[in-house]
Amino acid sequence: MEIQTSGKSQALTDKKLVKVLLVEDDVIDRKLVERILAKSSKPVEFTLEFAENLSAAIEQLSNNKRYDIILLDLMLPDSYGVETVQRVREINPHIPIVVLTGLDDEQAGLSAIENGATDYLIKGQELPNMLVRAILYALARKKETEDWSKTFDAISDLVFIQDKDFTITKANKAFAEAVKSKLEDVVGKKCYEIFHKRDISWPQCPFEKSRVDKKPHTEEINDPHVGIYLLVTVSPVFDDDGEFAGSVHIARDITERKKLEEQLQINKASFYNIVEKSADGVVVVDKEGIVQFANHAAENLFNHKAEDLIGEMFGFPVVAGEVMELDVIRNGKEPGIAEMRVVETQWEDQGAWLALLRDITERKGAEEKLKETIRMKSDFISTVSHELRTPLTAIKGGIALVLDGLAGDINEEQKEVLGISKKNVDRLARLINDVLDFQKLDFGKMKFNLEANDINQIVKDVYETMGTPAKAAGLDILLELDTSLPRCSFDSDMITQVLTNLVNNAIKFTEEGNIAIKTSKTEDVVQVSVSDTGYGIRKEDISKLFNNFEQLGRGGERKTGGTGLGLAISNEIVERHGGMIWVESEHGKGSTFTFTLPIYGTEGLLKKSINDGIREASKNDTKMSLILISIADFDKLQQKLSHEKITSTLQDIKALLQNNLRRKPHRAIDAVFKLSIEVFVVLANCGKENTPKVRARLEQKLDDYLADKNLADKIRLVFGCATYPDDASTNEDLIMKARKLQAIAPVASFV
Amino acid sequence: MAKKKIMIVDDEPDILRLTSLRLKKLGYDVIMAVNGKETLDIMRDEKPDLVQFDLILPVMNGIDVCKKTKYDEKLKHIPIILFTAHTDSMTAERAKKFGADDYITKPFDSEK
Repeated sequence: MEIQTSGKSQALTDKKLVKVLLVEDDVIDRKLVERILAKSSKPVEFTLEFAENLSAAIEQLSNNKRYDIILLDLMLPDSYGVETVQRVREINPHIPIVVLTGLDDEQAGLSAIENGATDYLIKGQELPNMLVRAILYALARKKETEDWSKTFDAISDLVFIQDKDFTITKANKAFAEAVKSKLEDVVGKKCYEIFHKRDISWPQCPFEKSRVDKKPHTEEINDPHVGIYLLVTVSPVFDDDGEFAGSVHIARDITERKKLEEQLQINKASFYNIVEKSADGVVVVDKEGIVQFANHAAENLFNHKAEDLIGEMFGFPVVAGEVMELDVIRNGKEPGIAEMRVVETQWEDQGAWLALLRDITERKGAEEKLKETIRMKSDFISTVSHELRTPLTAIKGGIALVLDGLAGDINEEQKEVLGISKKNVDRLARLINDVLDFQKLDFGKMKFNLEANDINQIVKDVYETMGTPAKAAGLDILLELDTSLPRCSFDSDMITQVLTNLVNNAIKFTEEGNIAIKTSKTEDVVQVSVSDTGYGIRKEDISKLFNNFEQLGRGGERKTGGTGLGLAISNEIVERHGGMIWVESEHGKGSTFTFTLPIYGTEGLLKKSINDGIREASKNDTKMSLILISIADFDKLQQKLSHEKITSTLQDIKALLQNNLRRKPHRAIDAVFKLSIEVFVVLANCGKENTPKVRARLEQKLDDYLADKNLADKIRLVFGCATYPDDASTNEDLIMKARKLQAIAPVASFV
Repeated sequence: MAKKKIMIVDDEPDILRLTSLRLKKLGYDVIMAVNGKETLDIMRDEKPDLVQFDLILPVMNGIDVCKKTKYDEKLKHIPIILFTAHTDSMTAERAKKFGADDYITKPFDSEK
């Protein structure tokens, strides 16, 4: 039976529709309720259905009909009192129930509420005033409860509330699912029964602690019965009197996190194992220079236990990217050498240095032995070559003596035979000289006399000397010189040797045509090329060309009489000058050999010289010093002397210094440079203790010179010295250091 | 008796010149070649009584010339003496296997 209580429903569709089931056997009461709901002006619209007894009501509820609320009479034909409420609850545990009782039966209403009814109303005078209000109130309460349980169930953590005896009074869905039970089956059980499947509480349960100290506690729990890791937080609940009543348990599944942590632990352990077992020493040094970690190999190299090393100063300079050698005691016994490489790293979230140490004692020993062997071999070659020269000189002398007719007349045939001998003796002499030259170059013994020279002049000189043999071979030498070439820095004898060699080769391998020598320049280099119209070189031979003792059968015949060292020597000489040499050739058409020499400004040459010095010094473990001489109060001096005068004075000073430097034959880098208003002296193999002596000697010479020129009262020179590696390790820093010292030099002796 | 004809092969003209001078003084006819390939052609034309050549020759090396000579019915009877600047006598011994009759290491004493 269904009655639409309002005809206005179409117009008022925005009103909330509330479906009411009235379970009432009294027709008058039914009519009354119907009337009251129909008259309601509240913003709700009611639809009302009836059931005359409990069975009908239960049938309607079971028929899957949805009601928002039940109005329940407690005196039905088939049911009486509180039991009625319980029966309905069994069918639908959530629906709000408002009980309707008689005037004389208020007690029944109260007990209905205790059994799950939301409210009760006394039929009679109360009803018209209270009914709608009670319905709305019941609905609101239900919504509130629903909202709360929805929220509670939405929590993904396992939440339940238990009383002080471990009995669960409320639990959320996640908890019920975790224990694979229905919510209603969980409530009322002991937490340890249902969760841990035991008869007494779980030993690590934080609730035990909470029971004692009444404070919240958190523990990680790993119960094999549960199979997951839980982070359990227990917060005590107190009743209105402040008595401990139980607790709220919140358990979070941290299985994933634990797995990650375990994996991390394993990774860390294996990584640690790798580092610890590494044959190379591994040391971590923080930015304060304090050792933070040392592995087993490092313990051996430093002859200390890791615990003694950690926390101590490392004591060696650590610079990222640097490789250095350390003296170590190996295994507490013999001295050794370790190579240390340093890279930047992180240690406990701080920047740190990672020093990797490798025992290179054996390698060093082998290297030393190899060096010694090479040196001995080199000495041997030098000695043999020198020894060969003596008998050769005698042979040469003897042949020349006979050939010149000094030992009596000789006929043509004798002359020819001796001529052949002489030619070959000369060839042997050249070969020995080449071998010696090459040996010297190979071992850096050759002294380079770098000076600013004009390459065109060298070309002209070579043209002069080679013109005759070229003519004899029926070849012309053509010159094509770029007259705008700057002077550049090279050893003129050596470059002459290179060019002579190239022209000589061109003559040897050219049957007819001509030879052209050309000079040109690019931004950085001057370039000299020698072209011929000879046999050319096969492609496959070009790469071998600059190798030692490599002679190519050019044009299918060996008729050169060369040593095979000429191009190797030329290559070495050019490379030592910082240049390059190469060949372009087409077989059968001719070849062009080209070499370059770098153009350095004076400043560039100075820097190169200092860099060479630094390199040499660090290689040989020696020192290198710089003396910088400048004119003090240059501004004032310009008013007293002309620019030309100052420049020429500096030029004189440079020449004077050059003449007064002991030229050490093995050191190519002792050098003097004049920059615009300064003169630099670069001293090889000169340490901090010797620099003042050199400086004093030069100062004396310069004083004499200035006095001699009557300039002593006008020009005051200031000196600054710097030594590698004591003062600085780069050319800029060395120059800066020297300048700084000039600035604080005493200004006394001159007026 | 007709003069014996000796052929000498070397890529060094000076060596050729001096050797031929000596052999001529000793009363031999001398013919010369400067590479291995040429040697075989000339041998066929001139039929020398003895050939001596350098182990290292341009175009075709001494060992190959030896082999070719010994496989050639018309040439295989001609004795061959090898010159070598290599003190390593292994190479020369190897050459002997391929048909050289003897070898001399350079620099040589003319009397040999």
